[in-house]
Amino acid sequence: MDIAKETVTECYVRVVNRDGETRTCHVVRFPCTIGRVKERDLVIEDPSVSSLHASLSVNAEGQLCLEDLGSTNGIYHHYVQVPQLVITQREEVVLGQVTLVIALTEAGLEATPSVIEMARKAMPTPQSEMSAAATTASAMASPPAPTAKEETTSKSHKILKFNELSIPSNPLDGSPAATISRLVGSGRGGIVCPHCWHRFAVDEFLFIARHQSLVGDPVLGPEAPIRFMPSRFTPEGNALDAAGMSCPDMACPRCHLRIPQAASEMPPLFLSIVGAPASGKSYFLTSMTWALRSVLPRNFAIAFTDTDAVNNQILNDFEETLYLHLDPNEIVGLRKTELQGELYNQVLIDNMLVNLPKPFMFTMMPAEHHPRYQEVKAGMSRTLVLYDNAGEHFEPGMDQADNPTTQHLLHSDTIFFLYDPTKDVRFRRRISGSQDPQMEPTARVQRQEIILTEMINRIKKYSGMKSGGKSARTLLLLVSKYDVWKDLLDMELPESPWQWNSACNTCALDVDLIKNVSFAVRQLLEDVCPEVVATAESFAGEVLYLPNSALGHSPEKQEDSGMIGIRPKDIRPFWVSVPMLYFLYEGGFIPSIPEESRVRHPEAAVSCKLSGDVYFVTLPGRPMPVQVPVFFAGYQLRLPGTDLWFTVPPVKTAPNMAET
Amino acid sequence: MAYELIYTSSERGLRPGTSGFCTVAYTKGLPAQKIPLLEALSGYRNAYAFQEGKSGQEPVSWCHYRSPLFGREVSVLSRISAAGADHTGRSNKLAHHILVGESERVAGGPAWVSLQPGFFRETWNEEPHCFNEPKFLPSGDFGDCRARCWEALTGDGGHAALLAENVNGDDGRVVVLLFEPGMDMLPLIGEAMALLPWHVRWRVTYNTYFTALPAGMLCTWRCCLAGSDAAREARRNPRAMVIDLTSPLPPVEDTPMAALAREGRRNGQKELQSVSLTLEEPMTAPPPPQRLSLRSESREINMLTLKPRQYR
Ligand SMILES: [Zn+2]
Repeated sequence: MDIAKETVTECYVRVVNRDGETRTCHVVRFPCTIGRVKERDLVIEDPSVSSLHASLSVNAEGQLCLEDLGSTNGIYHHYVQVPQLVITQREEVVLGQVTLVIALTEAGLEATPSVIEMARKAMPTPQSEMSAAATTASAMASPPAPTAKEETTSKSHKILKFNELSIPSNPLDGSPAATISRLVGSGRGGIVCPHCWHRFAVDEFLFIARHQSLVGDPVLGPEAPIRFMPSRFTPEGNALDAAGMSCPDMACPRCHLRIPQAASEMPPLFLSIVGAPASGKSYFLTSMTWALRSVLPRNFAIAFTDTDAVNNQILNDFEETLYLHLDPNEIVGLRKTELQGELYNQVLIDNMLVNLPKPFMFTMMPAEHHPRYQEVKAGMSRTLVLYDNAGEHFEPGMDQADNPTTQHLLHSDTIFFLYDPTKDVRFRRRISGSQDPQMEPTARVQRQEIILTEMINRIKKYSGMKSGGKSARTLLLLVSKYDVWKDLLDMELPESPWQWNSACNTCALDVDLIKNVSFAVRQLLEDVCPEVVATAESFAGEVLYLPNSALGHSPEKQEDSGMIGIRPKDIRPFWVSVPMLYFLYEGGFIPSIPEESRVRHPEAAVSCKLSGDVYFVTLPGRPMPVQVPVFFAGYQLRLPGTDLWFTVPPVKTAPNMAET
Repeated sequence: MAYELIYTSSERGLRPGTSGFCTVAYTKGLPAQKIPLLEALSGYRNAYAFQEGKSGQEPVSWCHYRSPLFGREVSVLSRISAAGADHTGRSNKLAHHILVGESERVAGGPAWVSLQPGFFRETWNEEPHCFNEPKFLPSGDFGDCRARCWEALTGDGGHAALLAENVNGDDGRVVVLLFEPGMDMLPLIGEAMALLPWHVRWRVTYNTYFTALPAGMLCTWRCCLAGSDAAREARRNPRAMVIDLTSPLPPVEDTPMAALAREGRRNGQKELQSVSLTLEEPMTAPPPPQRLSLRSESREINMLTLKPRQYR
């Protein structure tokens, strides 16, 4: 039976709770989030259901799709755990101890109901999600009853309480056991795997066997060392594998990939870099990390180092290619980012081939000469986790269960959206005389707000965000290739928007300048491509618009190959570290220039009228008011093209924010 | 029937809205769930840095993989290579995959098929489209078993037997061949495979430019660029036999398989099968001189293990 030929516009869900009581819901708005808390569209008050358990949405083919959103107890369909399920006819699924009957019509709900009972009998006893959150649980903790073949897999997932293990009483500081002990004691909610973004409790860490005979992992393949739940430790605090070898390396219980110890100890800051294909994400990432290595320690007393060389190897190669190349005249370049291969880990989760982008990890800690070292040491020691996605991954239709390559968007603490003006024909018309090969009349153009919209839709889908709500995160919209379009910005920008501040004994970020630049860039985008501004501001409560140039110079075409690259002598990156510095300023990691040291400009007499989250500012001699979003409130702004300075007042109540 | 799929960077892909690295063509009827699996096999690692300008000399990955993900008796034959610059002036690659079912297996085996001129696409400049006809696999076999390429490279064709003698179904020992740029590995693989009976050839998996094992795949013969990460990894693998083609090889044992590779005798299938029986013997102990009796009347016997066939 195929009744899903047309786009699904409604469906019916019958919720059968653990006592057999039923209620039927008519769903007419998608995505419809399902979970235990009242913020969800479909609320199921059962402790075995996660606060955000699943969502019902309509996919690109117009079919109804039920998707697990990282729940603890998963979704079971015919006794098999499924990450997602396309529903074209009546289906019964089990979420924890609750059964859902889903059909496209109300009449469709009525069919042979016996499966419910059968399914429930076949289910493992789900643990309480509430107690799970408080103590230890994860999706892997309650796998379906193992078959003989799966025994090795499930054995490693057996939950051992940490205090049941024979932990040495005084493990060496810095050893895995010491890390786990400390994390258990710290009360941190759990670890988010930087590879697959699975949240798990500290005592679910697997260890990686080291004995040569212990190979063959169900997730990573026949040649990978076995992952195991430790039961014995060395006196130094390493786990002992079955052959008695001391094992220091830990791995995620879901994807089995290695998580460096430092990354598990220092809470992560996830950064997602989003942009269309060929918008220069790899070049930006490379220039940014290279700049941060010197800017952070030198100016802000923050040490910024590779968390471990293995994970960052590719990025290190990129840095060496651009910044440490021997011949400054030779054209060098980074290869087009692939969608598989060396930048990805391929794993088999639930017998499904899943492609996960390799994270790059950096350890950020206050340097010992940081003025408040003792005070901020614990809070400021973080692991910065970032990903170099191929732009193709952000295109509509590329978000699939087996290719969850952009799911870091859900966890990201900040998002950098790279907007490439050379891909916009309207920008090109305003820039004349550029020798940039990317500006040739035949060079490709692309509508980039589509990528931005797709990114927003994915975040809303993953997080169950209400369609009208705004994210509390700041979206950094980076307008790249500034060297090409800088004449369009009516401003002279300093190389480094920060100043020495003797009170802090470090530099302080010139946030006034950054905000003012952001306003100028926003005005320009409003003029050239207003839909980009509208899309960005419909999603984020605050958008910061920043110019940057990863290379500071136009690339050149390599004669023989036709590929574009750059001569190292020409590389002069501009403002590549500023987005990250602003993010660190927002998080309280670095200071801004104090009030008393700020330069104030004489202001014009203006009238401001607040409407929603936008001020309508009437300036002298201007017939039309200027629209200023409230996130510019409190900063002195200059209207581009004029000498008119003004400030809009802070709003008393924050605009409506909705975010998980 | 055999399905094919082509993956490269293109201004426009087959699926609406796709561009950049994407699938640009496949055979009508290719099951949808196989498409991401084939795409996942399309990784390519350039051997040279961008500025070395040697894109024409990048090694080609000719491979034959099997995996439970595709089905028990399904093979994937692929050719993946660097492909100059794409429409954005950035590095491109071209991956051509062919999904071969049991009924399409031809006597020559996967390497012989891959060696047939024109079988794989080496360039792509067409609009995205579906192929209406299934891919046709040429039928044929190696003329004889003489390992001429091995002879030219190492001075002794008998070295081809080092690979063939280590074949033992899915549990065969991994053989790693370390090569340097410019060595054409596919004919070497082909000559080693020619030593095996035809039904065994389709069980042997290989990659002429191996960089990493894709998840869920089997790969027995792996050619790794000397000095690469994959080569270092291979040297650490206690279960792999490493043959370093960049330095002189030690003399090879006088096994029947080595003799076959040197002389290229091909006195009917009987001869070949009798040789294949010796594969049971471990490498270190040369097989006893006497011939094992050939129970060719029993087609239900696995000639490698002398046990009843497990499949079908
Ligand atoms: Zn993981």
